[in-house]
Amino acid sequence: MLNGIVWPDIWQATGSTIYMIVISTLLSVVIGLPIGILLYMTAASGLRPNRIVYQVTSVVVNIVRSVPFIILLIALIPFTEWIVGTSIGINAAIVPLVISAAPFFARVAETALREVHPGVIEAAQSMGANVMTIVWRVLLRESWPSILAGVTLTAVALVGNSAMSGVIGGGGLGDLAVRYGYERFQTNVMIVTTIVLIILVQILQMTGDRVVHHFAKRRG
Amino acid sequence: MIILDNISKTYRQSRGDETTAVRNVSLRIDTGEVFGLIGYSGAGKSTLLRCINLLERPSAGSVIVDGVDLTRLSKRELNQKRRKIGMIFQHFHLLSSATVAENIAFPLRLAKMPAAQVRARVAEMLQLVGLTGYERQYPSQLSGGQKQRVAIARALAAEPSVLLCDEATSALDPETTKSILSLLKDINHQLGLTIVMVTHQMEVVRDICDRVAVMTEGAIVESGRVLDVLLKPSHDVTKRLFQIHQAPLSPTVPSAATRVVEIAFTGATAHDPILAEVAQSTGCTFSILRGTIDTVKDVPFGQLTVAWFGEKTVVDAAIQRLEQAGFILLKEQITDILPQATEVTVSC
Repeated sequence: MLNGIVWPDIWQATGSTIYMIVISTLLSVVIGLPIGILLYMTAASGLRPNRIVYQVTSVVVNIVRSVPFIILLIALIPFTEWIVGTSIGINAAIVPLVISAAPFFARVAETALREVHPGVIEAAQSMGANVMTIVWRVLLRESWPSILAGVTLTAVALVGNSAMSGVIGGGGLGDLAVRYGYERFQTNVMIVTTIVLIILVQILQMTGDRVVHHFAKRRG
Repeated sequence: MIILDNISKTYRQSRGDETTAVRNVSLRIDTGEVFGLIGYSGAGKSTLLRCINLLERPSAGSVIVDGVDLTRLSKRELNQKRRKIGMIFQHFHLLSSATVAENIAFPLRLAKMPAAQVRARVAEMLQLVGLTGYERQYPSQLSGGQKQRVAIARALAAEPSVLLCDEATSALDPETTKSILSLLKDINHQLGLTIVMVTHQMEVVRDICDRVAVMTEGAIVESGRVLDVLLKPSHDVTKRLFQIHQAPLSPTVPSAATRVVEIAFTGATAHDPILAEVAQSTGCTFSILRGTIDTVKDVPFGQLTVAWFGEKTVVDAAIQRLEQAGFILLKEQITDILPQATEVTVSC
């Protein structure tokens, strides 16, 4: 059953996948969170309502989110080459991963921010807090557990997408599954990579839940 | 001192219609005063209160707090000024992610107070509201009354000259309401703080307000010292709001009574045996049909329905004496017993 599996390759691919997920999650948060804040602030109910900014941002986010990842992967090849210098390998895979996950995270963040009770914001305004203070010390602070839950959600979604990037030679477990499992008919390699991916997702989810719980435990 | 000069607040709705929440309100609230804004929900009292710190920017009129017209300030100046106007809310609005101490420190950190001073000030505020030892608790671990105490501590931390209370006791049980009101009363005495309270609860006004304004449909329809408004309400809404719930008169009201009057007394007259003295000296008798005795901001206040028996002239003299002694004649021949009296006559 386990005949012909090259274990060092599996471990190396696992490492690559983890690298891709960690980096692309971080970048997605770095890019997505400001977009999420922008969406929240410029919405009709936000602190700085602006119909045009909101609509434009919202439509762009929706368009990127509606393109299937596999198409984005291929369509972005020129862009990836321009940014990374190559369209093959794990660093190249990170570009489409981030482009697909950042708008997703932006929506998650927007939703999390909306959960903050408007009264709490009003109380801060009544104390003379300016907009920046409200964003940092009220909005982000109050919605932190929800935002962290959103980070977990994004990371888990990225596990699936990172495997898919194997199709264009992105590296990692997906790449391994395609090369050995599909092209060489080594079903057992496919099964092993899938198991490793399942374990990865479980670990991510458990860690994420723990962190969220840690930040949320005292609140009502 | 707060001066509201001809404040109006209109909201434009999506279809171009306009709704007016506050119309042409002018009001002057003195330093150190506890001022009540009372009215039914939707009367515009919360909107008016929020105009005082410009959480709602009035569509017209000016808001002058301690000599400064807030409507003319820049954003930055307004934020500075708001630090001197504390506010508490019906649902407290504490940061759920912050401890009690961090919540109270919030306005101090806004004012960039050094950490050591912040700690001392937080401890001082906690002592003021009676929550020493709760520094590290989170709001979810506190009761409603405790949360409101934290909110009061937070509102007062930056030493404001004004405290705005938006239905601050409406979400609390009667017992807790009493304790929060007495805390506010203490603070008003100790710090000379001006307090503006929005409420629909008559007890709140009776317990702690010096003056009251009654609002309906965005306008103030009546205002004055609480006792005066209570005794002589002129507008219908005031009458409904301030109606003292008295037991209905029993149907066996003595039809032999010469006069039945509703009288009120306050302050000093509450402690003297005036009724008995008057009856004795004039030679008539009386019977108390119903009555309530309460306090208005610690001043005793009572309302009695009294049936008087005896010669008409003697009874008239007695009632006149009462009025001279400081009693207030509210109503003559309570209407709700009149049909009863006719019925009795018919059946005879």
